[in-house]
Amino acid sequence: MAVCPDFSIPAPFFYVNTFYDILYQSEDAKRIFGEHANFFSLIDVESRRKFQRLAERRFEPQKFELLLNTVQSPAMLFDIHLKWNRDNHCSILCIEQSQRYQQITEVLTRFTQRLGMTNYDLLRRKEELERLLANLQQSNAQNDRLVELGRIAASIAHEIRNPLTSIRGLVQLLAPNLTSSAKLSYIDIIISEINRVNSIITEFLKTAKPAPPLKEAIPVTDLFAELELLCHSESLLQGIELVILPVDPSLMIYADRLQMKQVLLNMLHNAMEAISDLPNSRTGMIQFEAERFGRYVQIRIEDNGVGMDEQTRTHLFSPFFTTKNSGTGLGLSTCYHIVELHGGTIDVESTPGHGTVFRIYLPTVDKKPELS
Amino acid sequence: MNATHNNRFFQASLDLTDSIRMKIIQFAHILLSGDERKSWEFIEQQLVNGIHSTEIFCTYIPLAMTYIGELWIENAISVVDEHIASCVCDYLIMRYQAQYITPPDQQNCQAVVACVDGDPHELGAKLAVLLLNRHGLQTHYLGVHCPLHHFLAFISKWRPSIVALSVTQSHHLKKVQDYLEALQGLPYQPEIIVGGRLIHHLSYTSSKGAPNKQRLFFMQNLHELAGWLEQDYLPIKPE
Repeated sequence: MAVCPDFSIPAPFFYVNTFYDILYQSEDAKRIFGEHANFFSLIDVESRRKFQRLAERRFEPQKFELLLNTVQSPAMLFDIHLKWNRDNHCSILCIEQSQRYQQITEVLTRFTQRLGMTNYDLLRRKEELERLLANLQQSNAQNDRLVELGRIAASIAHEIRNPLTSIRGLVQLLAPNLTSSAKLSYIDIIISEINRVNSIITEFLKTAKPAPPLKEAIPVTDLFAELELLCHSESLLQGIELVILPVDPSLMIYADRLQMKQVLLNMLHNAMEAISDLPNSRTGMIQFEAERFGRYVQIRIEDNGVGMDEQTRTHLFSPFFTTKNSGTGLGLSTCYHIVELHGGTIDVESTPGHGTVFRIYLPTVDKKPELS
Repeated sequence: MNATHNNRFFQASLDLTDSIRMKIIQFAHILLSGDERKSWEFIEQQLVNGIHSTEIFCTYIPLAMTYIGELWIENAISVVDEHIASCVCDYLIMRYQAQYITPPDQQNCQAVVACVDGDPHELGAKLAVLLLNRHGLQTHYLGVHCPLHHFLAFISKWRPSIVALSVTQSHHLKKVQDYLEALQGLPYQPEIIVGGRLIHHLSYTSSKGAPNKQRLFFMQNLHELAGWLEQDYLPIKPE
């Protein structure tokens, strides 16, 4: 004799045999599904395969979703709770999900409305910005490392200054002994270079608060002459022809000498690198020239290196933009900043494969600099 | 998942290579995660890899949803998961339309698509709209819950050359009969397409004589629609 389960359950409940013939159904079940002889006949056609799969006889209780045809409407979603007992009979409890379903439908409707209003262009731009942000965060992490290195460098720089002072003193003492050999200009260069190193170190040590440029009237010829002295040997070594065209000696700029040198040296080094990237088909050439350009002096630096494409050209002066493996991407951005502080500007023209021209514009002075 | 003869995904993907089948399963799981962006990236990646967009809309998306349906049969996921995945598909379709397809001209209507009234599944219909739009046909989608008389009124007003009807649930199949008979009463003869996976269960018998058989097409999947558009469809010449 089968153990009779509690049939007074206030929910749609079925009691079936191994063939799913309905032995008993609760009042709620009758009301919702109508009278059926077999449980299969109230399952939606599409769901029958699922029921067959999952309802096989097991002792642990089963729970799954099923579409059932009710008196009211076909294919309603129900949670099925199913349990076989030892007499090969099965209890099936069907809980309707329609309330939950209602909520889902509402959410879906809202979602669809939102989709209709989404601006896909903005979305794409947002994704690009997020990618950029990720890149920036990465370069920020690199930056942190640079800052750490900077701290170490600062303490080294401090240590370098002391021996420099002694070298400078000794070179000055040596100077009178060299007058005969006409190498006095070398001494001047050595001392001016030591002064430059000293200033760079001083500059470096107070980078946290950069000093405003110390401006004076400088003949462009002087700048070019120092540049040639500094870089002549390096360009020879690399097999690059360095051409510095003669400049009208009265052409002067009102600028900070050290910073201008920094800018020109940076430009020169970039040009050298552009040339070294060339296949060895042509001789590298870098040409410096300067001329008056209205109220400005135009300094033109031309190389016949690899040149650059549109993409590189647009980002050229952005901080952290670099095409070199070991670059920091700060060189040209610093140059631009310096020239801007001097009331000037830089522009660039380039043809990939043929070379690049940089033009630096700086305010000129007519003989007498303003005293301010 | 077991590759049994009963598994619809397995049946539908029989002529695909294993690697494409794995790709589709991977895609299905991205859809289930509800991650719109990842799903879109997947689509764009396929396009970059040279997969034709027809494959995406006729194979990848429908088969991924078939796979998801099988997961429901296996009781591995609930209906809510299925809804999440189909929402993401909606998003993908809308985004593709917005990004790659010029919106149809409101003043013109060459094709109209609707779901049989009461049928809640519209993914297939939306994919059909996308295919029609991409074919350069200005297509209007009337959505789910479009009562028959509104459907007819719209068609009479715009006289589209293609009228497509989507049906996905077996208990809605018998309604198709009403739609087809009503379409016979139209003063002109559009191409009529009835689409849906279960369409082979449909036994259409017309009481008033069938509409011109030449112009009535039953299509079981979107590949059939894409192929028909490419090869057989000839636009009606304006009178």
